[in-house]
Amino acid sequence: MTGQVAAAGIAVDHVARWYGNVVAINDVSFTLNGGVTGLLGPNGAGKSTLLHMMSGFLRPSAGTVAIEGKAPWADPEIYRRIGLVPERESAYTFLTGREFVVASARLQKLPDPAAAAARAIGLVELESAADRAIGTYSKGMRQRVKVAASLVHDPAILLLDEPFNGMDPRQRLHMMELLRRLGSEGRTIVFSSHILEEVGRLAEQVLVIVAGRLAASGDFREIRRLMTDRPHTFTVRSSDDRRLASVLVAQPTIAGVALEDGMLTVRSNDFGAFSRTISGLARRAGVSLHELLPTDESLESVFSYLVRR
Amino acid sequence: MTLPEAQPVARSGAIYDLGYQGYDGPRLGRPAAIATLFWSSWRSAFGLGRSGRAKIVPWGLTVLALLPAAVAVGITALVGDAVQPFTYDNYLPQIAITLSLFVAAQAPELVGGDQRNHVLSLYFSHAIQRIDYAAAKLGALTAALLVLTLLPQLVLFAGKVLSATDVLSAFGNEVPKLLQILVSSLLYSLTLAVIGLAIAAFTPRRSFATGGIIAFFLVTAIVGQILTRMDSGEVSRYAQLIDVDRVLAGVTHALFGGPGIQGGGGGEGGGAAIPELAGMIYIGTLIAVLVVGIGVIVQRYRRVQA
Amino acid sequence: MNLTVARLTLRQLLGRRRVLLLLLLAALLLAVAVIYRLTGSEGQRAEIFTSRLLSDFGLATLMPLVALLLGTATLGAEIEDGTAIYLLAKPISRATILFTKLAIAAVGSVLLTALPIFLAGAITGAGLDNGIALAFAVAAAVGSLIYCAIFVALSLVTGRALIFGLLYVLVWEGLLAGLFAGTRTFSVRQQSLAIADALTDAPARVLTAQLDLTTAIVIGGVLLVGATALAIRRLRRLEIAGETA
Repeated sequence: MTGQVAAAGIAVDHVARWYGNVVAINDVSFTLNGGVTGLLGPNGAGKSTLLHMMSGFLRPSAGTVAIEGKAPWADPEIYRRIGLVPERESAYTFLTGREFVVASARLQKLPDPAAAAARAIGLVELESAADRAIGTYSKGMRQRVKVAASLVHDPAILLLDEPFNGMDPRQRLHMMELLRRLGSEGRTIVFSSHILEEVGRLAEQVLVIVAGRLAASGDFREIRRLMTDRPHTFTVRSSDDRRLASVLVAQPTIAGVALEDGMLTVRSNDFGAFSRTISGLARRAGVSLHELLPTDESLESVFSYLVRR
Repeated sequence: MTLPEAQPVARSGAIYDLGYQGYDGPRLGRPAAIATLFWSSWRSAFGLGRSGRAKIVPWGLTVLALLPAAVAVGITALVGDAVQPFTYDNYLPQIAITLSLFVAAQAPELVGGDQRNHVLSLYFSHAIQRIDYAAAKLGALTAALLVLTLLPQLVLFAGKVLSATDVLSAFGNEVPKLLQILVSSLLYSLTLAVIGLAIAAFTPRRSFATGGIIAFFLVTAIVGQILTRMDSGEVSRYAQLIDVDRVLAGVTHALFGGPGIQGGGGGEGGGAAIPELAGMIYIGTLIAVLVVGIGVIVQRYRRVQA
Repeated sequence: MNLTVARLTLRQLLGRRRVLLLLLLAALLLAVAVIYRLTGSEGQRAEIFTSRLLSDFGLATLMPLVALLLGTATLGAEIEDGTAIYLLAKPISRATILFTKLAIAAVGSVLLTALPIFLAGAITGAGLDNGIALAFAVAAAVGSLIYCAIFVALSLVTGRALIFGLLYVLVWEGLLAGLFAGTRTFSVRQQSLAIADALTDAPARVLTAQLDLTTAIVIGGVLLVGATALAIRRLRRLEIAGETA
């Protein structure tokens, strides 16, 4: 954690939060500097708690949170740099979408609230419904109007708590595209979710939170490679599965083979070694390979491994 | 010592299906369902089964209702029979504020949550009918108020009996009063519960319900008092019927005799004592209030969207 | 004072049955005054009646109820359901937010209390002698302001601000102040009465406050400033957690 990193983005250092005897967040540390990061964890793991600590609405019981070098707690000025999309139902259901976003722009003390609001509404594609009361919106539309309100001041850091809740697939794709674009512009975007698919598709990095602790961080493929105590699984289809299996099982790095469903499932302790040697082994055995798939590279398998630990 | 020789055990095994099991046996039915709702509502009126913070207000108010009785008994024990700050006749009007606060605070607890969380449909899909729900909630709130109305008077009763020199004859003297205690407590509890529920049943928001109930009690009391002091003929004679406490006191007096109704509330300045009307008028007003109130509650729960 | 916050708060407070209830209460006050005008006596008895009407109904019932409903709702409603986060995630000082919300509640309270009190006093036919109606209206305005400050602070301290506010009004100011003279010093109702007494020349039979003016103003001021300061401090350190973790 160099000074250069701490001066930009988000720096969380040995942060803990407890309520009496219940520990919600336990010794979490990470730094984020640009790009889209997914905060992944089961319900009750502490994702919201962490997001609220990063956005200055909860005070860490221990450790420090720094947004661009300053602690966000009790510092209203930080909200010029942060956009927050909370999980709570939006207030002000009697306002129209446009009025709500314009009000947010005014509260952000922007010089031209109407223009900023129009731009934000355009970003979330809510123009057609912008002049209806929020009370008449569907859940997905309410999410979008919340995002628009949080983007109206062009924040460098965007924190979203379960943003895809209630969105249909098309809206979700659109929102992901928007967030991806914002992240590529250099902003730091953190979003939380308990749905693996969403995180896997959007996040460049993941932070996996389980029971208040940071179980893993980084690119999930890298994380998978680091899980050396769990063999990697591959499925192979070849011209002679049984023969290939008998050759493989003789290799020291192979943990096991299984023949089922017309496929060969191989568990290997060394991903790299297996990838390098499989074609050679197959050729020497006189077997031709039709298909080779790593089957547990998914975020899902990473996640279930981490959760069960 | 030798161990007994191990007997060979016949090997057997079984796998038990622990999945969803239906139930075809006898069911307790509607009365039991109503009773359960009654008891769980009564418990929630006192915050039982919830965190400590939910208990502060109801228990605090209960203590407040008991306080005058405890103090009175204490005084009598120290000073003797000469000083009788409270009797059964005037006790309930004295704690009227505490009772109103209890209703205002707890009636929304009983019925607000179910509306807020839209669980009425869950209730009505079981053995409970709409009218059962209303009856159970009303009964529970009445029973909860009974604790605040009955207990202090029983404390007074015990104090009178136990502090007398001849306990047995004192007991004999006081026993007839038990009927008055019981009936007046019941009437007070029922009336306040009816009014409270009739207001609270219409809004899921706690602050509206509490505010509305308190506003009703406060304003009717004040307006009743003010109008009666206007001495403008018929209006001021009958204006006292707006004040619920006064009506209840009048009914108690009509049924059980005793000293006249205490003058309505404190207040500076002169003003003749409020004239007392015929007992039947108070009784009739009370019945009207109860009928209208219960009607409102029943109608509300018949028509509310589950 | 922030205009946007003010506008939002105004729309939130006005758009519901709340205002209906408050208007109803004010209407009742006026109705009683009208009834008296039509059926009651005149002269000094009217003065006495007016004084009691404005003091018992106006100051002791209407003023606290209105201040309670507006004061606990202006900030308390949003904090209770967590939607205050939308307002607080903005670069506006907490003091500004609090002053704005307090001002809206206070202005609303003053309008819904002082105005009807003045009108009722005028209607009974005796309120304009000795300036009783005006005196009570001013007293109500001051009392509403202090009440609002107290109740806004209360809504930041507890989730059940309404009940505790009611306990203050009914038990502390009602019951205890009748029994123990010392508690009257901290009773907003008594402070308002002292102000009304000082502003009118009416004889003692008509209106006598139980608190002297200096004490009333000093303690009232202390309550006002203290409650506001407490509220700002609590707002600055307010914690809002997520719905689920």
